[in-house]
Amino acid sequence: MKKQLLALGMGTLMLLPALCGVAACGGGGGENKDGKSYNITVWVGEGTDTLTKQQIQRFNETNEDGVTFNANVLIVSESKAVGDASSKPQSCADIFCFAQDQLARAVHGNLLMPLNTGSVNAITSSCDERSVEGAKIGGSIRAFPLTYDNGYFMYYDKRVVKEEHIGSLEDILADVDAYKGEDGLPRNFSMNLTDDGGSWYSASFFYATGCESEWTTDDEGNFIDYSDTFNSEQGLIALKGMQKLLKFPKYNASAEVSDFSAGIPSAVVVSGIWGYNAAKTALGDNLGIAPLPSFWVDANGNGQKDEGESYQLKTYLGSKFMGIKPQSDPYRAAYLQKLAQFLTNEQCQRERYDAVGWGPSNKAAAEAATTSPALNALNDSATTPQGQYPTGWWAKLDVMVGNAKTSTGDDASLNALLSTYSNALNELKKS
Amino acid sequence: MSKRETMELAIGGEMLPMRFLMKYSYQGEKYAAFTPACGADPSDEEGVALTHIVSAETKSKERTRQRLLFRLLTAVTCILCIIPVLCVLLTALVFVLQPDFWWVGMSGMIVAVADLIVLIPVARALARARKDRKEQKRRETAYEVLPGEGNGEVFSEFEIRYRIIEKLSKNEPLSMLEYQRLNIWRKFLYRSKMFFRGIPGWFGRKFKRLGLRLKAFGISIWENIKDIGATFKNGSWKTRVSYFFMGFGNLSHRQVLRGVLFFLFEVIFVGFMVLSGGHWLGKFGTLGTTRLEKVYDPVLDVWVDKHIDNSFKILLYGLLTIFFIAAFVYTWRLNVKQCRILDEITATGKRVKSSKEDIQSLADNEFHKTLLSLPVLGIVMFTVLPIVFMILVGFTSYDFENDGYNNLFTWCGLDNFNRVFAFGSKLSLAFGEILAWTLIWAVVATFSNYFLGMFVAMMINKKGIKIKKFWRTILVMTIAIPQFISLLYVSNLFADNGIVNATLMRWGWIDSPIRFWGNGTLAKVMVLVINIWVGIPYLMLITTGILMNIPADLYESAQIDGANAFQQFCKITMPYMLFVTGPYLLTSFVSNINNFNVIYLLTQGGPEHTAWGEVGGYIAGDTTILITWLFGITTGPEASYKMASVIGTLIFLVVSILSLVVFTIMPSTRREEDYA
Repeated sequence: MKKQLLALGMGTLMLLPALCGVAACGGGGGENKDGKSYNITVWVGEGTDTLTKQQIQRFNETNEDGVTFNANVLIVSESKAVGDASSKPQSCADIFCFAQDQLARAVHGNLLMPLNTGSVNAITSSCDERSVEGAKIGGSIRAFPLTYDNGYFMYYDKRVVKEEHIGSLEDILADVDAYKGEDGLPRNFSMNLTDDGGSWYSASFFYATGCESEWTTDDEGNFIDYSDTFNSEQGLIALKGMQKLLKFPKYNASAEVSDFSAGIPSAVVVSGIWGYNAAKTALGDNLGIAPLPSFWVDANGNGQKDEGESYQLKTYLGSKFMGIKPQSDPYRAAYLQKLAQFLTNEQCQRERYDAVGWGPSNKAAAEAATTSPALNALNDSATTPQGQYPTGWWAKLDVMVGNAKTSTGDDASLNALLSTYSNALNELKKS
Repeated sequence: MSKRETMELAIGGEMLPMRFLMKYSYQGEKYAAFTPACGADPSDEEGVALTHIVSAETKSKERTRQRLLFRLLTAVTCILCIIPVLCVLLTALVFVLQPDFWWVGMSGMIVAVADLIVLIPVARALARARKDRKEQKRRETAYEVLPGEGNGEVFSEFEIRYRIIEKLSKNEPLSMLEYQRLNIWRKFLYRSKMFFRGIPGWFGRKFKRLGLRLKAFGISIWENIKDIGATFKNGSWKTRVSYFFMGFGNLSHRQVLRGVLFFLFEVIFVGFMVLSGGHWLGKFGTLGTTRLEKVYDPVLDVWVDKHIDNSFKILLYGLLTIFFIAAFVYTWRLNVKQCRILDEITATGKRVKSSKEDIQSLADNEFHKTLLSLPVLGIVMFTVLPIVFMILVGFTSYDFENDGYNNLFTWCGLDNFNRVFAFGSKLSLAFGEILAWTLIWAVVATFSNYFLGMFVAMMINKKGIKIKKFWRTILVMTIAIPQFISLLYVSNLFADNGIVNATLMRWGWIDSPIRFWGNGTLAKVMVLVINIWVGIPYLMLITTGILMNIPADLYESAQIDGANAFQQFCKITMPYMLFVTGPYLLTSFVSNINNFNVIYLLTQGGPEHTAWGEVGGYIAGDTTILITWLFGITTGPEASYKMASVIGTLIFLVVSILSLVVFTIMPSTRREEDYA
């Protein structure tokens, strides 16, 4: 009898945790909705971490809601932020800064919280229309414009490249080719056309000849349609123009301004605002800054200057954005939007311009930002608005340009490359 | 004359096992008999085929002259053979890197041709000298098969050679004696041929063994099921209750500890399954069906996310649940088995083990279980589970678009594997070439470091080398500096605009930079050479200790027997080293297959091989190995975890197969007693 009782007792005991579990499931869990103090992580671009910490501190002291953010501010490159966030969507930063070309990807990956009416109104009323337009996916603004300076231009060494030659790629290449420094070394021309990320720069040749690649997204960031004219006569001219640089013996596939101080230094580096301080340190008064030059291509594809037709290289011009990770706590979500508004307001953008030279997207701040030669060069450049492209598009452009470098350069081989590129685009479109 | 000398003379200086030879003295002359080959009775002096041994003291001046001539011609031939190879290499390098200096390349080719013209008569002279020397040696040491009068089969020298040639032409295996009569090249060819011929049979045996094991496994499961049924049918009521309440049988037989542990495990299992395991297992088939919901809060004017399913968690916890269920089934079976045993013990009237005795046995004859339980659990949790998880990801659509959290992923069968193995596709082409380069890289990187490291260690340990500590310190300096720093530094050093190119240009040696990292072939050579620089110090340190441990009397004996330095290296140093460092070689090979650091820090896998196209937004390069490819795909713009998993699985297969095969055949595991 004892043993039967033991069996019964064991059965009851065994089911006890199960019953408790069912009860616990029904009860659910609660979240702390205190809403007054939050621990957050913020990813910002290089050189702005300290400034951002100060700005958050100021927000904590001045906001009317009495909310406090304990922010862990980390440096994560704007070009990598969306990729990093997508690899750990649950634990990525609450606020992160990213380049405009990744906006659709961020929306599609549900990495951005939809903005509320207050944020949208603040953005549309204070920011440059072009940056506001760039922040839209499917007609809705999805992130806070942080800068409007995301493009590239030419840093050059005035001792090598004559000032009157900076408008023509052929003249610049001739200057670079002819120069031999006191150190007995030649000089290079640095523009990243073939290395990782080179397609952002190589696209300038296609836009120079009038080619277009426009991609349409739906509200969720899916690419549903495209219009691409790279595979055309104009595209062929662009590849021929690009080959002048790719086959140039002193061409260096890099966008690093540190090339000015390399073992074999560069005389020209095509880069962006972010390289200004390093370039200035390397060249001092010999630093020249100018918009991208034009190139010549004649009917034979070997145009020298004043032969054939001239094509002005066009840089992308777009924004960097500040985005907010989707939240599950509405209070936290609301306060984060206020913080992001604050960090992208006129005063904060002015401070960022003063500290690191970033071009403001805020109209009032931009009007006052006139002292940066790098920003002025960018503003004087021929530009193409930064659009949204599928991630695969950049890689396919990279592949085409990489193959163009090793091709014989005749029309048939270049047309074959354009055709291969064009045929591959359809797979990028969401059917 | 000693027995050993007799043997050596009898077979032309090559050692033979004693069972083949018998030594005789007949009419004052020394003889040796090949008893197994002849089939004669060694005790019958009249019946055996006797072999005449010529005394070792018959060396003449002519022999010395022949030896010197032979060595001289060998040295000259070697030099003449190396020169054209170097010339061709130089020509190729010049044409690839500096086409402007074509005349240097052409000069190289002319030298190579001239060298070949000289080489022909020298090689002929060498062949002649070799033949003369062998003939002389044979005459001095050869035996003649004398006609015997017994019934044993007797072969002449000619007949034996004919039989060997016949067997070789028919691909028949040779006897040990016949094998020993082959020269070194024929031995090598014979061994190689036998190795490759043996591969199908080896695989056949392995598959057969696998089949037998699977069959045995199936039978064992069936036997277990039958036993479970029989135990329930024939067991006591306590045993039957134990089927539902684990440990009841033990408790009723006063084995409290076992009973409580079994019962606790069941309670935990049921609790886990009800609280979470059932949930994860229920969704494991689909990996989730309900994506997140966006909920609008009109008061605060914000959208918030409400996550329902998470494919990643479902996959991970579902797998964990399956493992837990497997553990439960095993424990339950153990519980039933123990109940049956307890029934049997009580039926015979014997006493069952008490809890105290159980605990004592865990510290005594069951101590291995105490020691191994935690490590086994750790291996299952932290090695087996992640590997299975990683493999399963390859069968899903997990990538940037379907991250499992914001957008669910699901099972996609063999689609990802099909992409890799689709015949003729760019991806399969890229995979084939990257796999080939990975294996080449691993083999060359492992063995170049191994032999050069050993060579450096031997050089430093050599008697007469001064300031040994200084040389060792210099080499160890490369270990002292963190590898990623030194590699990044070297990468920049050899960049197109790096210091090396700048210096060469400043000296006027080159007009345009050498594309160390821009040319695929050159980049491959560079990573191999730099890996040697990085790896030699480690090998030098390891082999120094081992070389010092080789008994000196082995070398002394070899010297007395007349072995030269090269023979000593081949017959003593190398076997000893291979025996001791065999496992190290294997691990080194495997780590080189996964040697991310050297490749990525030097070249990032480049230069980009654009003809392969891109995978997951990442373009693989000429020096990309599988592990850097995997990394590039995972961290690339499209974060294609699914394809990375496929590549990871294939790496796992390659590494595990190679490891198992090599580990099985390496002498360290087969002949442990040799160096004991």
